[in-house]
Amino acid sequence: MTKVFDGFERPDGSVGVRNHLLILSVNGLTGPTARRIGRSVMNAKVVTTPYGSGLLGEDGAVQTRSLIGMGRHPNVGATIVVGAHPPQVRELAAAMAEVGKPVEALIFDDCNHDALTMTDRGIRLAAALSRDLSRQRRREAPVSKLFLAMECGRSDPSSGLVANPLVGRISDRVVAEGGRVVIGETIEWLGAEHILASRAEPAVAEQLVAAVARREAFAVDAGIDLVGNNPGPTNIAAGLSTIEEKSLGGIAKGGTSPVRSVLGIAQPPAGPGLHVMDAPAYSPESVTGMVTAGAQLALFTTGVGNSYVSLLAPTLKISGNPETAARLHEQLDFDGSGVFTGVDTMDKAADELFATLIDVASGTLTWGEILDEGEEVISRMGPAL
Amino acid sequence: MNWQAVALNDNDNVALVLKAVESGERIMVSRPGGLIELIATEAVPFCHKIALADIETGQAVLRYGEAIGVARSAIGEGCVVHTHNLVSRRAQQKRPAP
Repeated sequence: MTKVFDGFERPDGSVGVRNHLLILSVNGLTGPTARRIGRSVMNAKVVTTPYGSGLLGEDGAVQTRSLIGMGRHPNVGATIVVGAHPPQVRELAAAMAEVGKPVEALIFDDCNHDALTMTDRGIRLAAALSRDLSRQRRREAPVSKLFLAMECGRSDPSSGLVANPLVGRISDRVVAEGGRVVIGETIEWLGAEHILASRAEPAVAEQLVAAVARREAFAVDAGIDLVGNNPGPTNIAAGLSTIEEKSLGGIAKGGTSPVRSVLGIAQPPAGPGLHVMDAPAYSPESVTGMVTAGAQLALFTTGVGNSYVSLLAPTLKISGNPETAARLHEQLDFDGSGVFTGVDTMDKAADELFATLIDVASGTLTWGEILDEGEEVISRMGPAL
Repeated sequence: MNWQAVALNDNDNVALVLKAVESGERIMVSRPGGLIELIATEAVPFCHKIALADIETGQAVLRYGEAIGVARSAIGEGCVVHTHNLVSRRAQQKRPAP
């Protein structure tokens, strides 16, 4: 069994599975310029946020933590922070630079608020950084350096039978090797929270159960019937009947390890092991929350197909549904339908999925990367000024 | 594979069918404790649930050995179990006082 992968060693001890140049617009005014810069250099990854001023409380904290998390992300070799307000850009850039990687600040105020001047400076900066990054080489790294985000989207009853338990086996292996794993989607612990809580220390268990109750109350207070929302229409058409059924299948992604902590959105775990993130369940927000916490790879199970992948973390799409596997060849990175049809054992499929994971960690591209599907979406919660 | 439905826990009163099942079709259900035989009393779509026993109104429906909700009406052995006869016990709306 392969226990190492080839990655990019970072000054802070983390290891990237990619070596992205990140062009990060931290302000709604500079998104188009960031995209213009990104289009002009090879392999740059552009992330933009439409916000930048007036976010309050948890919203502001999540936005800041998420942006810093992207700049510090192990898969990012260098960052250009593009923004409008000098203090905001400089503070974010300084926080990102703490982990020892190159970070450049590109500020509208320094460019007379002229998008073309900013574009020119940005392209030159990006070109130089891109050249530097291309000199770096992969080195062997232990699996303990991996941090995996486990997600499910557009689930069906096969998800809980095959794909999620399969991913759960990968969770257990990576945790056993000293790595880190996170599952999110709080509303999809509803009905299964007692199982997760039974694997946690009392204080963590209490936090976990409270997180579910809080999310459940959102739905009740809003007068929303979860049936039709979660499980959604696609889930129901595919055969899932209740949130409890979806959750009981969903938590299998986390395997059987003890739950070490309940994380906030974009909050890096303090140590190894399995963690849960209290966050919205919608895939774009959920995956970004875990990736900005530092996850280098996402394992994403689907029943009937889901095209969302992270931009910064290669996202392996996995299904155990034979109809889906036949239909979505250029979406699924791993076909687990052999377990569903009885051709393969769960053990054999888990070995193959682990090998695929190591392969992707070492540089093999996912379908989502090849087809340029990646995106990052930072959660918003309340009113802004 | 000589079964057409799976239940992952011996206490489950529903199983997942691995192929579309016809009304009146005799199927084998794989459970940890071994195979059991079942007659589908109605057509069951691919990946939907079939009742392994009679389930009374209000009784818990068990999958993975855990309650996935309760029967909102009596469900006969071999029937489809889905949103028409199974309801979540969670996130219930606050009902106005009668």
